[in-house]
Amino acid sequence: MKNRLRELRAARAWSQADLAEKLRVSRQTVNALETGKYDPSLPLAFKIARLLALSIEEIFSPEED
Amino acid sequence: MHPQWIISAALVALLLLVGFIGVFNKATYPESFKMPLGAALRLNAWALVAIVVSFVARWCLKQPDWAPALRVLVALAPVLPSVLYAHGILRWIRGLDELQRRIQYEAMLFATATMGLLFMVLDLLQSAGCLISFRWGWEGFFALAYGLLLLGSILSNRHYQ
Repeated sequence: MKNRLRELRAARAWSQADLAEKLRVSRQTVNALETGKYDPSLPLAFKIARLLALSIEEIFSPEED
Repeated sequence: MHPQWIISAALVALLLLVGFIGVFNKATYPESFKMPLGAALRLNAWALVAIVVSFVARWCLKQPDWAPALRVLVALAPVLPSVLYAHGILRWIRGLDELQRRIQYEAMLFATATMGLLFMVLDLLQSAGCLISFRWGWEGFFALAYGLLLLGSILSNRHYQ
């Protein structure tokens, strides 16, 4: 799955640690999400979407898109 | 000193060494999940209790005149702290974030599969007479499982870094 997390985080001038703290996950999790090494669970995806005030589809998209 | 005691003491020392390397090693638990010494001790306290109780129980079981029921009770004394240790580990894993939890589950799978294969190889070699029979004892089994769990954590962590 592809995502725009790095771009959206950078647009808000947040560091990975800032985003991790807001999501209550480890910085490693944020890094793994941004590099596409880890796909979040549905609850975490909703949490990210809520935090960024976007829909899940605006952040995450299937690899083939 | 009985060789079994020396082997057990060496395994316990190995267990503690591997445990402390694991707790304070960045490759096992990255910076954001590094455990303070107090938390690490609290998490591993029941393991230490189980090891101490095991040594005391083995020493106590040298008394030949004890009733069988009492011998059973003393022999199984390390089981309770071991169960409490396992419970503590599970609680700790449940408190981790989802990626860290996945890493720990992958490490458990790695440790279980590797131990199964290792014991299969050892058993086959012993059956063929290529290897002398060795009694691992629960400390040896535990040290090996813990070591493999930490190795699994390191490998899994590297995958997600």
